[in-house]
Order: sequence, then structure tokens, then C-alpha cells
Amino acid sequence: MSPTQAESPTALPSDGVVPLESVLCTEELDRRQSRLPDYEKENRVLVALAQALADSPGTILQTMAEIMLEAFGAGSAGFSVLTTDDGGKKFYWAAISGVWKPHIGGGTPRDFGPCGDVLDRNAPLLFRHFERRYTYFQPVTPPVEECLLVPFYVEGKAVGTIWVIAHDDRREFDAEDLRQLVSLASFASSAYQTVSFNQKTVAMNEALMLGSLRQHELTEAADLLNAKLQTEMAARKEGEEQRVLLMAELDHRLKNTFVAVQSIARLTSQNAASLDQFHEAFDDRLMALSQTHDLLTLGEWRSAPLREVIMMELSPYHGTQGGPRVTVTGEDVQLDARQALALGLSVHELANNAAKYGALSVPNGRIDVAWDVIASNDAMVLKLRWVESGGPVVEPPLRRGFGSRLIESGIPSELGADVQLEFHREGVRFTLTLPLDPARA
Amino acid sequence: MVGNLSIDPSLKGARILLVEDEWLVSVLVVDWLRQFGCDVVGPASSVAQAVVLAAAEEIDAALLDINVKGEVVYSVARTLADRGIPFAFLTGYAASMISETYRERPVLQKPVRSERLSQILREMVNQSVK
Repeated sequence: MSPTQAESPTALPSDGVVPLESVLCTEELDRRQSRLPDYEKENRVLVALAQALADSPGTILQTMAEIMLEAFGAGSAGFSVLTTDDGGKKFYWAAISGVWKPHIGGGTPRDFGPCGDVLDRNAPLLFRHFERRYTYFQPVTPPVEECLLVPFYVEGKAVGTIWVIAHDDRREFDAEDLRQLVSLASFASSAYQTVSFNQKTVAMNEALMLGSLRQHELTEAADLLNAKLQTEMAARKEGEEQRVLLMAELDHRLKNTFVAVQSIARLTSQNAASLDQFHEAFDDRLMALSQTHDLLTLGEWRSAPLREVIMMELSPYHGTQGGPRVTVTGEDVQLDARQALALGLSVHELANNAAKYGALSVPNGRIDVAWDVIASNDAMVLKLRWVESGGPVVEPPLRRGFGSRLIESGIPSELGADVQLEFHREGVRFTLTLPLDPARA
Repeated sequence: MVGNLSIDPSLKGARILLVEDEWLVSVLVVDWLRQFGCDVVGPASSVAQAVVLAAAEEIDAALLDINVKGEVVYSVARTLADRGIPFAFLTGYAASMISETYRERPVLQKPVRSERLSQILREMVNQSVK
């Protein structure tokens, strides 16, 4: 190529764009004096490329550009790839070696540029001063004297070019350069596929990682939600079941309480000398029953403490100055509802009797209540003693009233307990032997 | 206060089994039964005790609480049914909670009136006589 040729005036078309043919000189390649093929060198180049591809596929395009630069004695060498994200509107300079290396990342339009021309003609092309047609190259320095471009293909489709540039007239490309560049193009295709596969793999891996992270997060969130829902539903179901059971149980308990009150009224009436006496005794018994209910409600109707059941009736006399003396001693014992109700009413009867006729009716009287829990065979047994003293001389009652019947018949039948109610002259004595549920002792 | 109850001729000498674990309730019912002129069998305050009575005693009719110290009374009911002895339930539970098998049997809801009790007893004793 000579300066005169390069500077020869070319007729400009009406649109002012230098025609493609005026920047092409591909056919000159055949006319030029060609180098002899150096197969040994070519072989070394291919081995170096194969090694580079195997060792570091991520940088293979740049490595290839470097190797091309050296193999061709070019000023610049590079790798243009059709963009894929916009449907192939541009060529992207994926790798450049030599003086144009700083332009890596630049590119040319698909429809107006040397690479586009190569793809359109589907053939290698040799350009001379293509900046005359493609004026966007004019600022790119150093300018191009000659540029040999060869397409490469993936699955039969041209997707990019490899190229070598001579920036001055000391180097003219020839047929041997074309042959070697064409043979490198098939390698370029492999390199490109490796890189894009690699990128896809990386992208896919990243997507997968992200996906699996998301999935993990989602799974965790779903698990948490699920667990919450299950707990909530179980709680609701349980709540509903418990509510129904509770209502049924409450109804049952209430009905039984009604009959108990009915019975107390009847038994009270049988021993009442007058309506007033009936009312007084009936009210007292109703109050005792109600107070035991209160204690049981505190224990959610599972249990009530024995001490409280006793103190309920005796607390008015406990620890007071100048009156009867009351002691209540024993370890903590929990009574179930049946035991609490029966004993509550019994203690009421004893205390009421003591207040009217016994130890609580005089200032010097005293009541000592004490109990122990002892192991008897496999069961725990409560042994309780109610001992009155210091009161008026006791006369055995002429007839059995409500209290006596409750204590002597009711307690044994209802609680499976042994009782003794003794009217000693020095004071009433009541002893109770009550089998306890071991868990309650 | 005991008042208007009197011996019912058709119940006089009728042997009535009472199964009831609550002493206050059983005292009341026993009182009523005696007033009607009945002879009380029991009262039994446990299922075990009741089954023995139901199987061995001479009984015209029975009154059964359903929940007896946490045990269901149905084994007693079955024993009575096998012997052709009429029985009624006396319970604080709703009638709907009674086993299908015994849905046809009379149910006395607690609390009960003595008139209603004697009426049911009469029906059972008359049936038992037939």
C-alpha cells in the first residue's frame, strides 16, 4: 500500500459517505508477495492457545489477542463480538492487544462498520483507512493503515471477528496472514464459546445461588408461617374444644350444686325448730359452700389447700386476743374438689357447733387442728385431728343433725375416709383418715 | 317443710336401687324414696358396688347417676337391662350426652322435683310389674 493510493480522491456519493469499496483492498492480498508458511511457529501458537484455554478460560480472549499480536507482527490485534443483550446491534471489543489496547470495551455499530461488513459478506475483508468511511474512527489513535478481519462462527452463525491492524505502512498483510487468521478463527470460536459458556455458568451459578438463597429464605419464612398457623389453629381448636368441655362441665357442676343446695335445704329444714332458725342455718351452710367454691376457683377447680379450707371457718378466731385460742398445724396438702367441698362443709359444721356449744363459745376455749401425711401401703394418707378443750362440759347430742350425718355418713361414703366424731366431756374430738392421691400430698 | 309428700300406694314397698356418688344428693333422694314408701337398695356410691347390687338384689327399678366418681354407670345399666329391670338416669349432664344405647330410657335432669321423681318411678314400677 502506498500513500498515493491512500490519498487518491474518491467520488463521494450524494449522502457524503465514502463507499465501502473505496476502503476495501481484500483482493490485493492475493497479489502481494506472500510470506512462506511457518508451520512450526503456527503450531507453537496453537499449542500456546490451547494451553491458555485450558489454564484460564476466563481470560482466553485477551490471551489470544496478545498471541495474535505477536504472531502477526501487528500494531494491534483484537476480538470483536456481537452484543447479545440488545439482539446484536453492536460489536463489542472484547479483547485488544497492542497500541489499541486502551480501547477495550469500545465497539462499532453492526450496520455501519468494518465488522458488520465482514458479517454481511460472510468473508474475510482487508480494509485500508476505514476511518474515511467510518468517520467515528477518526478520533481513535493511532489511525489504521490496514486492518484484516476474519469472521468466526458459532453453530454456523457468524458472531464476531478477529482482526489484526497495521498502523503504518511498514507492515502489509498478505495471503499467508489471511490463511493463518482464518485458521485462528475456528479457535476463536471455541474460545468465545468457552467464555460465554463460562459467563453463563457464572451467571447461572449466581442466579442459582441467589435462587437457592431466596428459596432458603422463602422456605424458612414459609416454615415459620406454617408453624405459626399450626400453633394458632391448634390453639384455636384446643380453645374451642376446651370451651365446649368447660361449658359442659360447668353445666354439670352447677346442676350438681343445685341438688346439693336442694339437699342442704331439706336436711336443714328437718332439724330447724323455726323458720328463722332454718334461715340462719341454711344461710351459713350456703356461705360455707360458696367460700369453698371460691377456693376451688382459685385453684381452677383442680385443687384447694387444706389449710385454707380449715382457716375459712376458723380465721375469725385465729390469733385474736382475749378470746378462744385456735391453732392450725400441718404441712401443705392439696385437696381435690370433692374433698374440699365435703371437708369445707364439715369444718363449717364443727366450727359452728363449737361456737354455739363448744370451745369457741367461751374465752378460755381452744381448738387445736393438726395433721400429718403418712405413707400407708402404696397410698398417702392424711391424718387430721380436731381437738377442742377449755369449753363447757360436752353432752352428747340427743339427735343426729345435719353436721353429724354429714361427718359420719357423708365423709366416709363420698371420700372413702374413716372418721370418728367423739363427744368427750372435755371437748369434741374429730379424727379423719383420708386417702390422698399421691400427687396431691 | 317436708309437707305435701305422702306415701304413694303404687310405690309402697317398691325396691329402688339408687346409684349416686354425691352424698348430699343421695341423702336427698333417699329421703324422698322413703317418703314415697320405697325400700332403698344401696345407695351405691361406686360403679363396682352398684354392679354387685344390680346383679344380685331384688330390684323393681333403679335410679342411676351417670358419672359415678369418674366412672360411667353403663355397666350397671347393662346388668339391669339384662335382668329386665327398668331404670332411669338422674344426672346433671345434658340428655344429649347420654350414650345412644340408652337414649330411650327416662332421664331426670338435676335438680329434680320430687313429684317428677315419683311419677317416673311409678311408670317404671308399673312397667316392671307387667
